[in-house]
Amino acid sequence: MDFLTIITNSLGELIAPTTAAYALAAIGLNIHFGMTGLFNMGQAGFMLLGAYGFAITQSMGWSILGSLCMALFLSFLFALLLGIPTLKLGPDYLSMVTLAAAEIVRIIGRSTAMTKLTGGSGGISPQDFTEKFEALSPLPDGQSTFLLWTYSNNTANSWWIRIVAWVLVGIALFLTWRWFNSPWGRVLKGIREDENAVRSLGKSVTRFKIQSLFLGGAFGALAGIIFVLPRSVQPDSLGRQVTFYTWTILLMGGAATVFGPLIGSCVLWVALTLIKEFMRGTIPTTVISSDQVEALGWVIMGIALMCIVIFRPQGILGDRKELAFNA
Amino acid sequence: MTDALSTARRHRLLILACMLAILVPVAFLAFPSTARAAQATPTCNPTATNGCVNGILQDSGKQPIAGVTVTLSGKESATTTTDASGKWAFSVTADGSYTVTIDKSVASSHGLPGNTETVSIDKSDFSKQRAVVRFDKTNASPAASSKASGSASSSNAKSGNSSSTANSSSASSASGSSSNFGQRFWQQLYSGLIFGLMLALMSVGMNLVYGTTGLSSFSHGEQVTLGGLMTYVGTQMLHWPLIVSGIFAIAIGALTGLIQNEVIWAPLRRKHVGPLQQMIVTIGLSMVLQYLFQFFFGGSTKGIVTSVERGFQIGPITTDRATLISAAIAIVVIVTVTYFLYHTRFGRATRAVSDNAALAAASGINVEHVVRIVWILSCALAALSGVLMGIYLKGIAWNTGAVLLLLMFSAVTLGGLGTAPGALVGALIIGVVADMSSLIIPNDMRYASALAILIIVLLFRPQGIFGKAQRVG
Repeated sequence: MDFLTIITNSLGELIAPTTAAYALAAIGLNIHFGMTGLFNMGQAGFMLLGAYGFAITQSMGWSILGSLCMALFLSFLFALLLGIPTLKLGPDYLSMVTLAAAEIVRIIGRSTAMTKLTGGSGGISPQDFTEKFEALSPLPDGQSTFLLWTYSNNTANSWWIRIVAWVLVGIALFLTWRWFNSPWGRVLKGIREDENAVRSLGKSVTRFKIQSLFLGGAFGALAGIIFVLPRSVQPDSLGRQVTFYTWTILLMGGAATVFGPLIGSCVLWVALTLIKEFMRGTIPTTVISSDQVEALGWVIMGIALMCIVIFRPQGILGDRKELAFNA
Repeated sequence: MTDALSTARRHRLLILACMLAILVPVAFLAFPSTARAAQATPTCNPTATNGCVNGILQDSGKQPIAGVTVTLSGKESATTTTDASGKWAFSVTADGSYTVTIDKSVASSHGLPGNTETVSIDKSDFSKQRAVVRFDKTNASPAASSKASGSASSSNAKSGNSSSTANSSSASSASGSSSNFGQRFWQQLYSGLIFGLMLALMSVGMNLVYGTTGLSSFSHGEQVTLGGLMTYVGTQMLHWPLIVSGIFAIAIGALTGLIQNEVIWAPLRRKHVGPLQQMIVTIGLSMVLQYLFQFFFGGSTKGIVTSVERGFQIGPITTDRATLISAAIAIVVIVTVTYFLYHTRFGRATRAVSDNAALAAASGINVEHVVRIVWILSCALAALSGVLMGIYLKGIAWNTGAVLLLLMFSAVTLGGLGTAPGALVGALIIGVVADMSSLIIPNDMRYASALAILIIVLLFRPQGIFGKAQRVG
C-alpha cells in the first residue's frame, strides 16, 4: 500500500457526501443541544424518517420538491410527537425517549410487515429513488477528475451529490450563523442556561423548544437524504450508532459554535479513514482482518468521544464558558 | 432471481431460521469500479469494490465438512469447494441478491436443515457488505419463523443482527403443534415472564447505579454481553463446565465494575463532571466495548451450550430444564438483592445515598465505598443476566446487550428511575408486553411496543410506578 493512495483516500473524505451528511446532522443536533440544551439522542430517527419520506415518495413518482416537503413534514411530525410529551422532562428522560422513538422508527421500518412500503430490512435500493435527482444534474455524463479525486459526474457516488450536499451544508451553516445571533437564538440560549428565567420573561419555553426540535430535525432529515443518496435506504445503517457518531462529531468540533459540526465531521472522517487505511496497509491480514480493522476504527471513535467529554468538553472550537452541560 | 425466490419459498421456514447478516462497518470510499465476475477465494474481505458471501459448512455437531461444492447464483455466479475447516468464500462485485446452494444429499446426510439460502449484498452499506451463510444455524426460532412465514419473502430472510436475538427469545414457543390462540397466549405469557425476570436482573443493577450516582449508564448492555461472552470463553474455549464458566463470567463482570469505578467514574466524580457528561462518557464506553467484542469474537452469535435439551410440557406451556433453572436463579438473586437493600446495614446505607448523598455523607456513611460496592454489584448482576440470557437465547452476540439496553431503560423508567422494586415490576411488565404483543403485531416489531410503553409512561406518569413525583425534571 503506497502512502499517496492512503492520503488521497483520506482526503477524499473531506468532500465525501457522508461527511456532508454527518455535518448536516450535527448542525441539526447543534440547534438542539448547542443552542437549546436538548439532549436529543434520536437524530438518527429524524435522518431515517427523512430518508424514507424522500425515497418512498420518489419511488411513487413524486417530484423532488414534493418528496423534500414530505421528508420535512415527517420530521416535523416526529418533532411534535417527541416534543409534546417530553420537553417538560429532565435531560436524561429526554435522551431515553428520543433514543427509544428513533429505535421504534427503525424497528417498524425494518419489519417484514412493512416490506411493501419500506422494503423491510432489505431497504430501498438506489435505482428506485435516485433517478430524478440524477436527472436534475446539469453536469454532462461521464467522469471528472478534480485535483486528486475521480468520481462519476452524475451516477451513484457522484460529483453532483457532493455539490448538492456541500451547498446544503453551506446554507445550513449560514442559517445557524444567523440564528445564533438573532433574538430567537438568544431566547434558545436563555432556555439552555435557565429555563425558568426565560419563562419569567413571558416566553413560551415549550413552543421555543418544539421550534428548535423541528428545525434541528429538519436538518437531520436533509442529512438522511444526503446519507442515502449514494447508497441505499437501509434502516439498520441509520440506527442509534449514527446518533452516537453525530454526537461525537458535534462534541469534537464544539457544541454551540457555528463551524463546530463542520470541523468535527471533516476531522473525524479524515482521521478515521487515515487510521483504518494505514492499519490495512501495514498490518498483514493474517494478524488483523479487514473486519477487525473496521471494529478497531469504531473503538477509536468511542475512545475519542470519552476523551473529548472528559478532557475538552468544549471541543476544538468551543468556549468553555458557554457549555451546554449545565444540568 | 425468480428461480431463487421460488426455491426460497419452498424452503422458507428453514431459510428464515438460519440467516444471519453480519454487521461489517463500511469503508465509506467508493471508486469507479471495473466490473468483475464473482470469484471463489480462500478468504474474502469486503472493500469498496467487492462484497463477500462466505461461511463455514459444519454438521450439526460443529464438525467441518470438507470438499463440498458450494454454488453461488444470482447477480453473479461461481462455484467453490469447502476447505479442510469447512470454510468457503466468494468475492462478488455487483450489489443484489445471491443464492448459495449446496447439494441436497449433503445437507440431509449431515443433518443440516436446509441446502439453499438467499442473501443480499450491498457494498456501500454498513451491514450488507458481507453475508455469512451457515447451513447449520438452526437456533433462531421455530416459533418466530412459523409466525413470519405467512409473509415470507426473500427480504425477511435476511434477519439482521438485532432481530436474530429478538427472534430467538421466544425460542421455546410451540412450533410443531397447532398454533391456536389460547396455547400461544399462555406460551407467550410464560416466555414474557421469563424474559422479564432476566430483564429485571439487568435492570436492578442499572437502577442502583442511577439511584446512587444519578448516572444512566448506556454501557450497561455491554456488561450483559460481557457476561455471556465470558461464559462462552469458559465453556467453549477453555472447556470448563457451565457452572464454573458462569461463576468465572460473574467474577469478570464484578471485576470490570470495580475497575470501571476506580479508573473512570470515581475520578470523574472527584472532578465534579456532571451526570450528563458522564452519560456521554458511558456512550463512548459502550461503543468501545461493543466493537472490542466484535474485534475479539467476530460478528456471529456465539453458542454457549452445544447440546440441545429436550423440551417438555407443563400444562399448555412447552419449556425445558435450563429455562426453568435460569428463572429460578433470577428469582433467588432478585429476592436476595431486595433483602440486602432493605434488611442489612449496608443496604440501608445504599438507600440513604440514593435519597441524598450529601446528607448520607454527613451522617457518617462512606459514600464512595457504597458507590464502589454498587458498581461491583451492578456489573456482577449484569454478567449473571448475560449468562442466563446466553443460555436462554442459546447464544450471545457482540450486540445482544445493546439490543436489550433500551428495554432496560423502559423497565426502569416504568418502574420508577432510581427505585429498588421498580426495576423488577417494570421489567416483568416490559417482558410480558414485548412477548405478548407478538400475538397481535408482527413478531419483529414486538420490541417497538415495549419502547412505546416508555413514551406512554412518560406522558402520563413520568415518575414511574414507584417513583416520587419530585424526582422528575
